[in-house]
Amino acid sequence: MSPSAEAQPQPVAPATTTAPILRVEHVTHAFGGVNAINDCSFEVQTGSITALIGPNGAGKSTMVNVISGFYPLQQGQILFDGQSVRGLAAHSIAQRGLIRTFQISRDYGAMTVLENLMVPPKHQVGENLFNVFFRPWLVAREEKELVRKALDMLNTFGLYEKREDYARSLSGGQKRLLEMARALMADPKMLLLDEPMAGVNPALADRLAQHIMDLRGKGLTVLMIEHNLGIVDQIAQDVVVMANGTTLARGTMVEIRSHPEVISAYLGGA
Amino acid sequence: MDATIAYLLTLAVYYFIFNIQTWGLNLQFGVAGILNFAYIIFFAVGAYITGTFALPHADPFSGQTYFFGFALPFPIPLIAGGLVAAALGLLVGVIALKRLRSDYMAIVTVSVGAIVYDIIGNYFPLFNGQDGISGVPFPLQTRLGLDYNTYQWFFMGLAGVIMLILFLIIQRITHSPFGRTLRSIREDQDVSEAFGKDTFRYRMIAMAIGCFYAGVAGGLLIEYISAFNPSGWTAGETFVLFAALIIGGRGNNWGAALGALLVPVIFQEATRYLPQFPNSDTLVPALRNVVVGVLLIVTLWFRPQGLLPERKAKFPKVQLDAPENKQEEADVALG
Repeated sequence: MSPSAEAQPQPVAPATTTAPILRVEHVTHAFGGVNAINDCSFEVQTGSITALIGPNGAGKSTMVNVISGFYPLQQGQILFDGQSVRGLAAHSIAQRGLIRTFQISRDYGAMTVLENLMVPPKHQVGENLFNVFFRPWLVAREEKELVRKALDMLNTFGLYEKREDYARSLSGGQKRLLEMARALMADPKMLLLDEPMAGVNPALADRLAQHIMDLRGKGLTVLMIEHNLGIVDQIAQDVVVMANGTTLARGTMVEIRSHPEVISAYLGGA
Repeated sequence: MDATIAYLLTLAVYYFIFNIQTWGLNLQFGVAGILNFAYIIFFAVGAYITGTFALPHADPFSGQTYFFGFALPFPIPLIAGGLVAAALGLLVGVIALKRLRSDYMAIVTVSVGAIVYDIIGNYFPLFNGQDGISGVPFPLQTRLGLDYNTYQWFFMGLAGVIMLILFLIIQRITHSPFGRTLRSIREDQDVSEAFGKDTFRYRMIAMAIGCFYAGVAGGLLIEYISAFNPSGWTAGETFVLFAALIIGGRGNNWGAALGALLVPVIFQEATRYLPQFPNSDTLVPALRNVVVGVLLIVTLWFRPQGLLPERKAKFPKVQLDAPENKQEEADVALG
């Protein structure tokens, strides 16, 4: 897992620490009799951008759902930040700092863009009704802080002008930006992005890529499913290739590109 | 007292009660997106509990049989009615909210509604079956020593004050960060779960509060009319409330209040004394339901968000730390 930085078009610093924040060990996941994931193992280094690639049906989205607790862990082990996610509800995993997004952007359509960003912050004082009625000043103070943070975030993502608009009125590209900005409001340790650039134009894809690299600069770890290998090449230090439910190859993009099994899997062989 | 004034007083009290009911339903359906088709059950349970907590021990010669009979003073029976309804709401929630998606959950609530209706209607030792309970004492009447007419005014004031308090509470809840999280769950439960929200817990709280409102509304009704039986809470009553909420504007407590005025009060109650068609005395009640149905369809067609739609959330004004320098860049990227 040593990223050969000099070989990449844009120099990327190696992962800051060597300890993996996420370990996936021998995970198998079956739907009925079909194994969508079959004895799959890989690691995500703390502070890295790791890409999960592979042909359609490789089990990538299933893997995201298992890691984030949307599907219960059936077999194998997943350790996030040193702790097993076995038996944890999705919201408990999220509270530990693992925040995921969805393949199709899923905004809170009937809420404004700003309000969308006000939801994710964890453990809000005002989410407790006792505080709402008996400590309203704490709630008001926190609301003000969160609004400031949310507006700064919208500004960063170029959505400030849209803050009062309903999220459902945004364009597809704006929804992608909103999705990422909203996930960041949860102060994640690690972001799990399921095809963050699906269906966006190249200019916006570059912009999203830049955002993801900025996140890494702030110490976040990112695991992203991505089909655009050019982008993967540009921003990811580590690449995990999945095919037929298992790990086919791991390494840098340069190493992956010359891997014969990967080539055959992508060309529809294997 | 003039009959017209007496009638208007009654309508006012009914309106206050309907308001409380639609606000509770609004928190569940309008804000949290919970489809509870058994809502009227919680209203009924609140009424029965309030009634039997206020009535003295069942007299074997009165022909009535019921549980409890604690003869407790106001407002204890009313509060108990709300709390028991809320507890029942939690019980139904455990079944319906834990794993089920909205459509299946709706089916469960319909079944629960039928079960509770049949048990209360047929098991006489509980709340006197189909005959229902009667003779519930008017709250504070003996203590205040008011005559019947004056008491009517007093009760309207009492119901109005209770309604106002409940309105302020529900407004606070709806517009708090707690309410915001409920709305987010309504919009997309998975996404809220992915942000670390224990969506089951939030929905359970919404269920309990909504059912508490239903229970208090039922308690107020039985304290006002002093009698209650299963014909007063058929499954159709739930749909009248849903119609009120959808027409008035779900997600907005003012909309719920407008809907409660338009649908149950004006269409249901105020048309009660329209002249009957000769030889077909069930025609007007039937037409009433037709009108509510038409009104519902017209609303969903032309103004699906209701007459007073949910408003955009308001936030405190704050100054940005950084200048707004990213907008141009974004516009370029978005083409």
